Amino acid sequence: MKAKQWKRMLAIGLSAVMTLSILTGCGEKESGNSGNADAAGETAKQSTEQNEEAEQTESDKPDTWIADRTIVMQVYVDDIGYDMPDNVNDTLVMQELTRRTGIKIDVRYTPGDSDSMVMAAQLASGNIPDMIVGYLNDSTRKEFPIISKAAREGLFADLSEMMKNTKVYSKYYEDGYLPKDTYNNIVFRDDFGGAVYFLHLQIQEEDRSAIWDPNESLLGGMYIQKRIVDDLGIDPTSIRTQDQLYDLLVRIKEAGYTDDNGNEVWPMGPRYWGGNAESQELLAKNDNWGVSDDYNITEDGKVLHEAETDYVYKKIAFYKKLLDENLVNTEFFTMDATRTEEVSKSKNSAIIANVHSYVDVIYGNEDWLPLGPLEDIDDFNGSYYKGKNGYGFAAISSEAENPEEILAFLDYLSTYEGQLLIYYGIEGVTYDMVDGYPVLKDEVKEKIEAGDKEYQRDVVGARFGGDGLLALEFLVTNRNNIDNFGESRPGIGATATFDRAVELATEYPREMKLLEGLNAMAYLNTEELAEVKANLELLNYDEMLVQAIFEKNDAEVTKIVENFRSQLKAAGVEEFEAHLEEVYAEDPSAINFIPHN
Amino acid sequence: MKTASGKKARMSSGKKKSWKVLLRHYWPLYIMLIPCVVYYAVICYVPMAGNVLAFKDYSFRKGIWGSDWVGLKYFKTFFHSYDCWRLIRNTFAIGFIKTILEFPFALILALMLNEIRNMKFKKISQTITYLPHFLSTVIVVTMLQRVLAPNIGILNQIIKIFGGEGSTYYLMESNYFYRILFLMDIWRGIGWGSIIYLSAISGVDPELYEAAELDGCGKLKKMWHITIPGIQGTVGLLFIMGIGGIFSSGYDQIWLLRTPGNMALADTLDTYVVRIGLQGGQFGYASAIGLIQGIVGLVMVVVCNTISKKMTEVSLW
Repeated sequence: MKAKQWKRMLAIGLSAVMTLSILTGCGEKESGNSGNADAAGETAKQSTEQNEEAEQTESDKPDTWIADRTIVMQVYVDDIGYDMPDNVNDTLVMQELTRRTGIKIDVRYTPGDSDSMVMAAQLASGNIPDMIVGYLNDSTRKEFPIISKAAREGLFADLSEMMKNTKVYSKYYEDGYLPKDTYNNIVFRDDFGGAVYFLHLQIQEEDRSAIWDPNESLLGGMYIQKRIVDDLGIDPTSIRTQDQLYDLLVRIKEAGYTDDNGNEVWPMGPRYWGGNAESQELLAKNDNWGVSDDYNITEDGKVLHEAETDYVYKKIAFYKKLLDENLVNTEFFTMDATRTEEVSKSKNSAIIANVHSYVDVIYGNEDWLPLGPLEDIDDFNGSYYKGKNGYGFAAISSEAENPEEILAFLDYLSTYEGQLLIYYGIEGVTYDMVDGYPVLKDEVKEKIEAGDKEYQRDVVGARFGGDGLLALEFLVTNRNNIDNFGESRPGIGATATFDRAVELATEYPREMKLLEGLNAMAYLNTEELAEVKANLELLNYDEMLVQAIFEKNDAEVTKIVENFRSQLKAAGVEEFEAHLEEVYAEDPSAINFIPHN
Repeated sequence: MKTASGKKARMSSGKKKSWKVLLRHYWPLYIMLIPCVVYYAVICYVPMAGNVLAFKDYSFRKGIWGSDWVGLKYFKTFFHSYDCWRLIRNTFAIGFIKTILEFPFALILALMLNEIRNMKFKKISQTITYLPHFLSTVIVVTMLQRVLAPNIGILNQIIKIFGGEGSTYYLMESNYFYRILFLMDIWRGIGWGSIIYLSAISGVDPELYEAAELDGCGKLKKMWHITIPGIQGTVGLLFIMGIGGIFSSGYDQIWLLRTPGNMALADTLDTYVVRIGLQGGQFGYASAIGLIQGIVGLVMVVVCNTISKKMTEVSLW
């Protein structure tokens, strides 16, 4: 009898636990890397801290003091989310930052299929903490329509008045400080009615984008194995056209090189970070007519999608030839990132279709040389620049308490003192000032040389030597590393790690050319074109091209292309093209077209 | 009249009494039922209210209930869209494979396992067939990509050994897509799916087999005349429940198997909903398509249940 009662009690207990577990899931889940405290606990903690603070005299607080609080930020940036210390507030940098400002941070990241999808879901649920942070190169980025909708619907605080009183962000009001797109389409948008909801981050104080600086520049593009260059006796910079590239691939194939594992090399391998349909632009440069999100303008002023021109067939024919003759890896468009790294490192690819000089496979040895670059439709093979730009955004919740404190904290991070702390850590501990510039200490350099990333991220919490804590660095704006610190990449020059990258950028400089304007799709964000936008965004030109490239039957290829053209028409592409023609006629610098027939 | 109402009252009181008796005797069981009820209420029924989004212009600030009504706008947009019928066709095709074509295989495996007399071999076979169920779709698809890779994949290597070219890129050719999907599902789900049939088979009266043996029935005849009719109810119920998924392809598997080469077939309503809903932020439109899928599934279940009830007396209700 007793045993039966025990069983009953156990069953009931289990049932209660299960029911509570299910119901717990209905509540808001707080997850952070710094404590996972629940809201009540957090409030109580803050309250206690505030009481303790009240006991302190005002004179104990430095001039930079803002408030004793924890700012909870949700980041939609995988590079931050996957690389956080166990407790960011325990790092030397955050402890110093808290001493100066009183602020602690709670950085939260939710993994998902993509950061933009997680952001859309969280904004839709209305569940955002004090502030959110995400990627945002410019207003054409796919996340922007979602955050812009959230802003119009009042999810974010209006920062316009507060910004005017800040040290750094007040510069955003100065004429010519912000890039045109940032000013008109992100920060001071007309449809926000004078309100400011977004801080575009990582804006440079000085525009140096027209200068090829070997210490700063990433040398990206195709890279070829040096042993093959030596063996074939070629000048890798002489490969400028698709035909020359084809001839080179044929020579490599005929030479029959083998990789580190003894397997035959593929003359052309996929991009280092994983194959994708967008890779179609990498090799067919001469035929890449749709330079602005697949759109461009003819010399007589007609805007078209590349699919509506013959260039689509030229591209398909070029790739088909490469595939048919086994000159390009069959999985060029689809190989996952793990394997593309593997085939690059084992030298299974004679040429890597796209990589840059700050990837270890390139800077870690002298086995690779830049190839080309190929010329574009304008016979130019250098790099385009468009002036200043940003690559992240922050927005403060309209329900955050005292948003001016959050803005003040963000502002402090972007001051010289804030940036010095974020990039170099603590003076006397991680760096010394020499001739007015910070220089990392020898023991810190040794840690960098030894690849001790945990020291940089978990102990110091700074961002030097090309590594360390990204969470704070991402929030910086008004960057001017050369003037402030005497080097474009903080701490990079302190070690020999990236010497090869600088050497390559010095030996193979790129000609720079100004190409103003936004990508064409930026002009799809109007009320009138809302339906066209919804339809066009569902069409994927790159995927259609790859589908056609792999189709063996020529009649089917035509069918695929014609079907895509019909889809474009049905989606309303002509309406969009007419709109682009109007915009371009009014201001040719508004869209980054390269007029060509 | 009085008598009748008095009888009714007594019956009613008796009924109430019986519930009380039931509760008093079996209250621990009812308490154990609570988590299931709560689970279905919270996870399945409450979120159904969100379907109202299919008729609203969703606003982050106003929320589901406060957003403005737009009527049937999204449904009209969908049925007028260029891709509508292609998406419907692709979804039905994959739904058909998953709910109809794949359906008998778990049953066949259960019948085969039931005939194994060597218990050790039976257990090993069962374990081996169950295991793939516990692998995540990402892992299975990654393995598949390696196995089917052109030139270096195991399948192509084997083809090369036997004198073939061995360079076929299976995942980039649409004519292999359905076959890959079908085989992946079978490999992954057949063992797990057979558990419920094995359990139903174990409930068939052993005396029936003994009687059949006396009548001279062989294994096949016993299977055909005793086992299958014995589990007919379970088979019918599972089929009716499964048919609700005929207008659904699932998301993760299709998304991961999708390549530019097979996208003509792999673009389905489920992947479309994710693209426009979560990537494009059109929550109302995505909900409308999800609702269409749900309604079609419900109709299929009701129709199949009615037909099954009339023809085989097996039904969900």
